[in-house]
Amino acid sequence: MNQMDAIASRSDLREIHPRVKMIYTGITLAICLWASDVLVSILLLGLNTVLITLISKAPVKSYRKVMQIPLVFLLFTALGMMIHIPWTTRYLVPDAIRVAELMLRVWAGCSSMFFLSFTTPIFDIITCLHQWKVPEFLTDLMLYMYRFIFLLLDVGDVMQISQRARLGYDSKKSWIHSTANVAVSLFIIAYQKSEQLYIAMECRLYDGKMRYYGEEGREEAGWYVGIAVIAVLLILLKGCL
Amino acid sequence: MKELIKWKGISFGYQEEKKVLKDVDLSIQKGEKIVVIGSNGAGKSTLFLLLNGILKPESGSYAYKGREIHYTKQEMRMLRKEIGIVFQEPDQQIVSQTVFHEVAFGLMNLGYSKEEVKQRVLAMLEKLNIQDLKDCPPHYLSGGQKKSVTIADILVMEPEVLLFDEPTASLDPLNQENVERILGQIANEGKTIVVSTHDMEFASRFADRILVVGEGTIIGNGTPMEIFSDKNLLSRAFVKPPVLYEIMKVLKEKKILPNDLELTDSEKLIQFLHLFKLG
Repeated sequence: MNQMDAIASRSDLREIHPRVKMIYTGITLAICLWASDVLVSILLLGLNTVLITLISKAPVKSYRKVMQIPLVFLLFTALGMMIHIPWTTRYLVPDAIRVAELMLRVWAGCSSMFFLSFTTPIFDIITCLHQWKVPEFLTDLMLYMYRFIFLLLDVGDVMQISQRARLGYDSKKSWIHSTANVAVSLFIIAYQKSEQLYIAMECRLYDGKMRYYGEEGREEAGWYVGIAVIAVLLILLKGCL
Repeated sequence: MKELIKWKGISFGYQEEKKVLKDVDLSIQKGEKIVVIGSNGAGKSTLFLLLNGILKPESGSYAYKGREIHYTKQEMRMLRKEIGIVFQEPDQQIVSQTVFHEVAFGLMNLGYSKEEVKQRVLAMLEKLNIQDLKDCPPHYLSGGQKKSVTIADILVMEPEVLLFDEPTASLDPLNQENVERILGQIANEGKTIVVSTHDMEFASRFADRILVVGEGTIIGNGTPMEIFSDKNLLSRAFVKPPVLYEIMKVLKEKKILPNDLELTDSEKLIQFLHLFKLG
């Protein structure tokens, strides 16, 4: 996800105010889930793919990789939903078409979320939430969590490389041992780093209140009209297939 | 010269039994360029955190600009504004997701208006020549660029005194030169600078005065020439002088150089030797 943020900061749509992008995501997600319609889902998927790969100019490889993740989960879920329970007459969901529609709907919803991920750095999203009066303790927490997750992932990565170089993952036993070591070390490092960070912030007069500079970005009425048009179109197309 | 900082008998330990610093006396004048040297673990970083009020000493008195510090909330806030620290590890210090926000962090905490913050941040980025990095996530920058960002975010708060914890550590020679240049620039503007380093050449070039930390206290306090000529002091502090001094000593013994010649910069020595006809 660190790479996601890097991609987002290089996005061609970065300049747009995060508000616009978040509203687009929210509205299309809501419509898609409400519509429960194959055509709506496919259209949304297509629209988002175009937006992400052609307009935002995100690397296609990344988009493909990232869209495969929910697909894997969805396929397993679909399988589970269609299994017949022996010694009973019940299926969880007997209708394969309905299952397929459900999976498609979720996948299309994911593509809307990914639109947000690919075009808006997390920091912008959090600042926008703050402006929408989401309680400070939540937004501050999100900021810290975000910062530390990547720090820890990076440190964990380096540790694993170092362990692998010393044959730490060669046998099942050493695999468990090495993984446990990494987990414990990460705890300790998280504690140390958070202390250091706090001291550094205190040195710059941090007093417990995270002050958000406030987001800047272009915001044009035209875009909101565009979002409204897309929304209406999707709603009207429900049931056309 | 105005005395900014005066310590008498400052003692501090992270644990009850073991004191990192014992009975330290210290005096820093306005505009001085001070270098702190000493081995790892000698207490240099602790010294810095005591200077800006993050750590509270167990005993001793601390006077800033002539006024005794009693560690009230306002005094701590004042100390941290007046005395800025640039930490050794940029990652330790970086808080925000873009360079702009990073540099703005301290100013926002000081309560400036949005326009004022924007103006000052942009001016500072220009000054350190990192304006192109304004919207970049600081974590993705190179070591030298990160260092410039961490210097910017402290300098923008306009402190009176700047503490640098090993500023050239893990930087390549070009970036080291860049940092040195920035330090020189800051010093020329009248700020008081305290740098801790293992780079003795740099210490010799830059310092008006060197403080040697060892054995739990300050065991040396003098000009680079005085400190680096004192073999006993250097061995107690586990510090090696720059090669410059060893060479100069030999050249003086061989009567190639006049005895009273004091050079603290190896570049100047080289220039001097070029003017000489040897042999």
